[in-house]
Amino acid sequence: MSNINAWLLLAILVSSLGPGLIIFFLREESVTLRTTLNLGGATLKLILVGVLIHGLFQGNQYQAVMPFLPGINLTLRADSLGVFFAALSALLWLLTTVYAVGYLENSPNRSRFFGFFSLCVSATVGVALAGDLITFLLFYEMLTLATYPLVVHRGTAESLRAGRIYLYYTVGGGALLLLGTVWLWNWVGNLCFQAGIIAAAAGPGDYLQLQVVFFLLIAGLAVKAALFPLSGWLPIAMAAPAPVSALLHAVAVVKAGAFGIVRVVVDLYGFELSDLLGVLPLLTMLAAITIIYGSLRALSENNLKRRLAWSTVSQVSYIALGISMAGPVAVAGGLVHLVHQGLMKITLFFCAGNLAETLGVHRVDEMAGLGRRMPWTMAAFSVGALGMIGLPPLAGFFSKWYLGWGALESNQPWVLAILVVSTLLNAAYFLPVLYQAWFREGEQHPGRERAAAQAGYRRGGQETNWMLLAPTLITALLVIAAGLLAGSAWSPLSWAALIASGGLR
Amino acid sequence: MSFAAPPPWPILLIALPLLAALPAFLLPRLARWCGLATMAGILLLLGLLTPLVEPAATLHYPLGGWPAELGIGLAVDGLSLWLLWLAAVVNIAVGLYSWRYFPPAGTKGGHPATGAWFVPLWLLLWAALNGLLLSADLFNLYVGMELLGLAAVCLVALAGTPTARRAALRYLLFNIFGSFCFLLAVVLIYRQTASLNLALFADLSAPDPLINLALALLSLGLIIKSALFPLHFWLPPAHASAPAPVSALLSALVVKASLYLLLRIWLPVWENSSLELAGLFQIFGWLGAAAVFWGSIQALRCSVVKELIAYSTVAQMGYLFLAFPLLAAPAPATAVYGLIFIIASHALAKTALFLAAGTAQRVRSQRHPQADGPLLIGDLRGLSQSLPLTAFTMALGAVILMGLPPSGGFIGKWYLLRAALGADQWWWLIVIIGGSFLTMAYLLRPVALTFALEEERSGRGPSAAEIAALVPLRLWRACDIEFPAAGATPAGPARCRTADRLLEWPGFILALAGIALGLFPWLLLNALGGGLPASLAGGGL
Repeated sequence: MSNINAWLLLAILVSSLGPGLIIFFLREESVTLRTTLNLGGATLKLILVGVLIHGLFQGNQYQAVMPFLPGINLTLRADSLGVFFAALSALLWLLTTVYAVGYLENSPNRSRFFGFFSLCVSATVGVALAGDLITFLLFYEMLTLATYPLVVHRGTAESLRAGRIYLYYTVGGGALLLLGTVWLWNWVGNLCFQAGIIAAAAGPGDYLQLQVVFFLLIAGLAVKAALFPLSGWLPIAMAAPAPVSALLHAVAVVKAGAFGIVRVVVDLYGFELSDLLGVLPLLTMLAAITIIYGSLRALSENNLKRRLAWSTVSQVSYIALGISMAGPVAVAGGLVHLVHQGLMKITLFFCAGNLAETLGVHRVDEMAGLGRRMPWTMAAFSVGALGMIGLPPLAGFFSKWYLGWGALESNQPWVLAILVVSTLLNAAYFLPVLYQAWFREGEQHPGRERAAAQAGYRRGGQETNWMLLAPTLITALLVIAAGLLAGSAWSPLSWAALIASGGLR
Repeated sequence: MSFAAPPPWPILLIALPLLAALPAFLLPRLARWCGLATMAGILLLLGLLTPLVEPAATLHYPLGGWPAELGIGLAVDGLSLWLLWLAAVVNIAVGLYSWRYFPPAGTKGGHPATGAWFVPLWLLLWAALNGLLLSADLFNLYVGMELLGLAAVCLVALAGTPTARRAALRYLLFNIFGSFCFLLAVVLIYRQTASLNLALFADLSAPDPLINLALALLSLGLIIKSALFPLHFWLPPAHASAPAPVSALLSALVVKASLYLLLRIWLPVWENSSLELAGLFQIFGWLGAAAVFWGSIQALRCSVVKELIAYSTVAQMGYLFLAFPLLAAPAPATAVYGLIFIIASHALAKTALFLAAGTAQRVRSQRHPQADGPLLIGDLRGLSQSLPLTAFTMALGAVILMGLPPSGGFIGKWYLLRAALGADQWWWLIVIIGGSFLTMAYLLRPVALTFALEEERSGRGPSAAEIAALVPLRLWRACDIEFPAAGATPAGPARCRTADRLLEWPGFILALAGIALGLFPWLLLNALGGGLPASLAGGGL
C-alpha cells in the first residue's frame, strides 16, 4: 500500500519532468508531438493531483523516501499545505501551457522553451511536495536554474541583462538558504517539516543561534518572494515572454518563495517557537513595508507588465503578512491568498500578453478604448484588477477580509490600516487602467490595426488567438468562482482554513 | 583451503594501458583499437576489483616478494577506488572524443602526426595515473609522477603552435622542479627511516628535523604540481594552449593526482603524530582561498574561452585545499567527503567544458577555415541554436562548478560547509559561499551568450566584402547560412547540426554524470567502497 502511495508522488513529478526531457531532443518542426507531450503531461499531472487529493481525504498517507547521503534522506510527502500548492501549480500549468503554445506559435527555439518550462513546473511541484528542508532546498534551487533560460529566452541584450540580475539575486538567496539549512542540520540532524522537532532540540541558550538561522532562511526565501528590499529583480525579469511572467508570478518562483516562508514558520519552527524567539513581528513589519512599497512603485510605472510586477511584490507579501500574525484566521487569509493571488495575477498577465501579442500595446497610456476593441480580454482584466483591489464577491476580497479579521484577532489593529492603505493604492493603480480601457475613446492606430487584421483578429470578430483567449477567460471565471463559492467545502478558502487549523498533516 | 594470492587486477590496471601504448605507438593504424581495448579492459578490471574493496580496509598487493618496507607494493581503499573510477570515466570520454577531434591523417588541415601521437601518450598518462592511485610506496609514486608529468608535457606540445611549445616548456620546468623536491624528500626519508612504504607516515610519532624538512619538500613539490596559488603560473598557459582533449585530461585528472598524494601523506601524519599541524593546514586553506579569489578574478578578465576555463581550474584547486584546515572538524570524514565530491564533480564538469569548447572551436574552423586563433567568448553567441547539445553541456558544467543542486558540486559544498561549521571555523563559510558566487560571475558570461541571438542584423544583408572583412574579426556565425534578405523575418534559424556525435556526446554524458553524482550520491558511495581512505571510514559521521 505504502509502496503505491510513494509511486503516486513520483508519478506527479515525472508527469512533467519526463515530457520535458523528451522535448529537449525534439526537432523544432515537430509541433504536434511537442504539443501533445506538453498537454498530455499537464493533463496527467492534474489528474494525478486529483487522485492524490481524493486519497488524502480518504485518510491515506503519501510518502516517498530516497536515501541521499549518509544520514540524509530525501523525502516527498503529501500534506494538506503541500497538496494545496501542488494543485494550484498543476491547474495553472495546464492553462499556461495552452497559452504558451498559442503565444509562441512560429517563434524560434520552442523545444528549448518548453523543455525548461516543464522542468520549471516539475521543480515547483517538488517544492510543494518536499517533506523536509533539504529536499525543499534542492527543488528550490532547481527552480532557479530551470527559470533562467526562460527569462533569457528572447536572447536580446535586455533579456540577458534581466537573466543576469535574476540569477545574482536568486543564487544569492539560495546561498543564504543553504547556509541556514546546513547550520540547522548540523545541529538538529533532522529537518522534517513537523513543528516541534527544532523546539525539542533547542534550549533557551540556543535562541540567538535559532534567530540567526531563522533570519538566514527567511532572507534566502525572501529573495524569491520579493520581500523588500530584495524585490528589485522582479520588474526587471519582465523582459521574459508573457507566459513566463505569468508562471513566475502566479505559480513558480515568487510563490515558491512565499510557500517556503510558510513552511519555515508553520512547519519547521512552528508558531510556538517563533513566538518564543520573537521573530514574527519583524516579519509582519517587513511584509507591511513591502505591501506599501510595491504599491507605490506600481503607481509610478507606465509599462503595463512592470506595473503588474510591482503589484505582485505588494500582493505576495499578503501571504507572509498573514502567516506572521500567527492566528488561525490570519494564517488562513495568508494561505488562501497563495491561490487567489495566483489566479488573479495570471489572468492579468495573460491579458497583458494578449494586448502585446495582438495589438502591440505595452504601456498603460496606449490602452485607451481597448475595452471596445478587445472586450473579452479587457473584461477578464477587469475581473483580475477588481479582485486585486478586493471588491466583493471576487476572490481577493476574501483574502483581505480574513487578513483583517485575523489582524484584529491577534491584536495588531495597525495591520488593518496597512490593508486599507494598500487597498486604496491598489485602486489607485488599477482603476486608471480600467478607466482608460473602458471610458476613453481610442485614437486611431492604423498600423497596429492593420497588423492585427492581417492575423485575422479584428474588432467585433475573433479578437485574438483562441489559445490565448480561452485560458484568460477560464482563469477570470475561476477568480469569480473562488469568490462566489468561498463557503463551499471545496473552495480554496475552506481548504486554507483546514490547513490553518492543522488538519490533514 | 589455501591462501590464494589476491587476484592481480591492480597490477593489470597499470600494465594494460602501458602495454597498449606500445602497439599504438608502433602501428598508428591500430592506435584506435588499442585505445578501445584498453577502455574495455580497464572497465572490466575495475568491475572485478570493486567488490573486493571494503570500507575501512585497505587491500594490499605485495609484489615481487620484497620485504614490505622496501618492496614494490600496491594498495587499494575506498578513496583510491573512487578516483580510479573517476579517471576511467574521464579517460574513456576523452578517448572517444579525441577520435573525431584530431583530424584523421591525410585530410586537409589535419596534422597527420597529432592524432597518431595522441593515443600512445594518452595511454601512458592513464597508466601513470592508475599507478599513482594504486602505489603504496614512495619510489613507485615518484616513478609514476615522472611518467605522468612527461606524458602531460608531451601532450601539451601536441598542439604544435609556438604558444603551446612555450607553455609546454614552462610546464616541463616547473614539473621537473616539483619532482626534484619530491625525490630529495624521498631520499631523506629513506635515510632516516629505512622505509619507503607509505605506511611509514603513520609511525612518525616524533619526527626529527630531517623528516620535517622532507615533509616540507614533499609538500612543496606536490603543491607546485597541483598549481596551488601562488605557484600556479604554469597552469593557465599550458591548459589553455593544449588541444581540447588534453586540456580536459590535465585539468580533470593530472592536477588532482598530486593533491591526492598530498592527502595520502598528510592524513596519517595528522592522525597519528604529535606534530602540531593545525597552523600548516590553515596556511594550506588560506592559499586555497587566495587561489579561489585570484583564479576567479583572472577568469573574469579572460576573453578566450579556454583561458577562462583554465583559470577556473586554478580557482577550483583552491577549493580543494580548503579541505585541509577542515580536517579539524569533529568528524574529519566530512571534509574528505567534501573533497572527493568536489574532485569528482570538478573533473567531470571541467572535462565537459573543455570538450564543449573544443567542439565549438572545431565546428567554427570547419565552417570558417580562415578564422583561426583561439575561440573567444563572443564566438559562443547563439550557440544554443547552432549546437544545442554543446551549449547545454556548457550550462550543465557551469551548474556543477557553481555547486548548485542537483549536482555533485553541491554535495561537495554541503560537506565543506558542514565541516566548517563543525570545526567552528566560520571564516571558511565566506570563502566557500563567496567562491561559488565568483564562479557564477565568470561562468555566466559564456553561458549567457549561448542564449543570445546571433548578431543583430541591420536592415540589409551585408555584402560579400563585408563578410570577408568580418571573418578576420572572428565574427563567427554558428551556421553557414546565407544572410537573410532585407526585411526577412527570422522565422526560426536554419538548423544545421553538423557536429559529429562523438564531438558532442562524450562531454554531455560527463556533464550528466556530474548531475547524477548530485542526485544519487549515496548509491555511488555505497557501490564504490565508501569513497573514504581506510583510516577514516571506520568512524561514523
